[in-house]
Amino acid sequence: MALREELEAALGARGLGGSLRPPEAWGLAAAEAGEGPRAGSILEAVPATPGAGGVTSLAFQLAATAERLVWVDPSDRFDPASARRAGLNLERVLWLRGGGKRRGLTGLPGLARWHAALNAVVQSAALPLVVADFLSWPLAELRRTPRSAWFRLLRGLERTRRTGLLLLAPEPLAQTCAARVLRVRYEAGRWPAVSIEAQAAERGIASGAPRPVRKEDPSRHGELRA
Amino acid sequence: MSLYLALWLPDLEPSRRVWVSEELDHFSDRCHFLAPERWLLNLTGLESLLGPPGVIAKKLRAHLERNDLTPRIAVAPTRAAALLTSVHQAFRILDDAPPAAALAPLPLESLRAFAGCGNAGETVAAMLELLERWGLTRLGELAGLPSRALAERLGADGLDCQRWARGEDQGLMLPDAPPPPPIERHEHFEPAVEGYLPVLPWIEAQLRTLCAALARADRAVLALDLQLTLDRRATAWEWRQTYSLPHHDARRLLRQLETALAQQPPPAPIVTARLRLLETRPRRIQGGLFGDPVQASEETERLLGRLRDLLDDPSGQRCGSPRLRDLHRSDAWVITPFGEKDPGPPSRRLPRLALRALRPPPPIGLQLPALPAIPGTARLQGAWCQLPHQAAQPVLRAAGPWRNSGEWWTNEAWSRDEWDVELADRHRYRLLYDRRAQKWFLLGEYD
Repeated sequence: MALREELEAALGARGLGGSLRPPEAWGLAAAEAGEGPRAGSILEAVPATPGAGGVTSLAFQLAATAERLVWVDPSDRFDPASARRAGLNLERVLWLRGGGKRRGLTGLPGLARWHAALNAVVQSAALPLVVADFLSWPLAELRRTPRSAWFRLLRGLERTRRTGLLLLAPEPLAQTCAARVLRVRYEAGRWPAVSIEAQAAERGIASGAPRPVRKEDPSRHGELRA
Repeated sequence: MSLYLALWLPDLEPSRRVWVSEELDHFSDRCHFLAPERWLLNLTGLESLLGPPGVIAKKLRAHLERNDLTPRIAVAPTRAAALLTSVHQAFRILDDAPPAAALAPLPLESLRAFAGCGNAGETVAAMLELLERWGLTRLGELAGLPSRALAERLGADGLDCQRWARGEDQGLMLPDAPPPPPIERHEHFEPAVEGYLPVLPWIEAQLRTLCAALARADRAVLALDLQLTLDRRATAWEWRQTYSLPHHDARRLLRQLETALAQQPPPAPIVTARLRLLETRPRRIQGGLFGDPVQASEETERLLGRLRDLLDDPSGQRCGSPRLRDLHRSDAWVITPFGEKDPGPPSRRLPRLALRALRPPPPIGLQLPALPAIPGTARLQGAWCQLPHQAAQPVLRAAGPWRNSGEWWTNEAWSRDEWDVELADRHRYRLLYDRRAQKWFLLGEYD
């Protein structure tokens, strides 16, 4: 892994490498957003104000450079034509579609079903980027997600450090589990049309600070319920 | 002058394929197998050794018929002509003349003869449906079309099909390699052994040896078959497993066999055991520069299997890669299996606003401000739009319509106008006016 990071840094310094985007792509927004989620971490993208917009556009842009990715789409809102126009190579995308009536996964009810799928994807570490799109899921149900569900995902990511999770949500959900939160705002008549307020989360992973020692067992927070 | 012999054995059992290949080596040293059950022999220059091509073909036919086979044989100056002719005629020798005239009366379906020839099979399958829609039924009709006009409409694939219909060869025809024969191991137990446990050491030793040999040769196990002949005239015990992801892990194979034997033990003493392996090339998908391709492939396949199970998606419609259909509709796509093809380099495009689609598009209410300025079109600026579960809002800005229609020759005809609008809540939406149903729908929201 160290060799990989060294090589990527060396390639990046010369303006090469698949993970670098041309600075003119998003202008200020690209500089603020930086790369997509780092391997082993969670990056959240949320609207700066309720219904501000621009989150999906930013997610497409961040995902366009991934080698391969999973797009977890419980609400079935992913539009392949739009993604293609934004630069995603659709052959690299594994799309997990939900049903229009939030059905599809067996055995588990509601949102817990999709956390099971996310866990399967994260723990397999077979693909370097996972995008979880909960933007259109009812907010009340998202707020009921216990903290342990996010810790479980984070533990899975940190165990292999081969996959990064980009979480799209109407408001910050992962809280301290997220290494970084991007607050996105769509502004008509401005270029780039999407502006970003980045914020490092409490865990301080993005700033390089040491991780706080967690003494309590997150599994005590209870199992995820629909 | 070149001469080719095409041989097709439609009723050949797969187990006799190797025997046929060995027999054909006596007739020509340049012999290619083409799936399914077809062979192409180059007879060029063999006249002085074996006689004229007609004599060689008759000898071959007689030899195969003596062995209870029903061959279809054609000899032609080109490979394409030989293959096409063998599909519809049991025995035919074409002369040196250009084969287009002889091929002209054959049905267009004959082009399926190229199914095993590298990429030609995919090209033909895609083209045949289109050509049949054009009303073409014979090879001669396709061969007689003006090439330039055909290329303008169908591109290089159309020209390829036309060349084959004329019996012209192009480039190298790269045949599929013949499948390797199954690997078999037998053991006779004297006296017959009670229970399956005494047989396990023999199975384990065979599996370890075979898997090690396969690993050295960069091969993997595609199917495993164990057959136990039982004493007291009991029915033979059989177990067979075909792997979607070929591997050469002897321990895993042994564990599966052991589980199968434990769950359903042989009801009588075992007299003989026969282990049979089918080998194939291991699958490889390298997700990254630093990854192990075999391991990455296994991980991806395992993940896909688990997700399909979780999604209860045996048809693969909820878990896969989207592929846009070649239609003038933004919402026309199909789901294809993930990771089948090696994707090309990532594309670099300017960012655009993403659309969040709604499936199926819900109907909306739209109150137009005045009579349309142009007959048959609407002017949306100033209209009032009522989205589902929202109050009516005025349309501040609108762009469109983007009018398109298609499939009018089928029952799935569509004709629609698409609009991009910005409502008073400053959100942007894509609206759809279905001209056939004369209704408005919400296609999605820009985000």
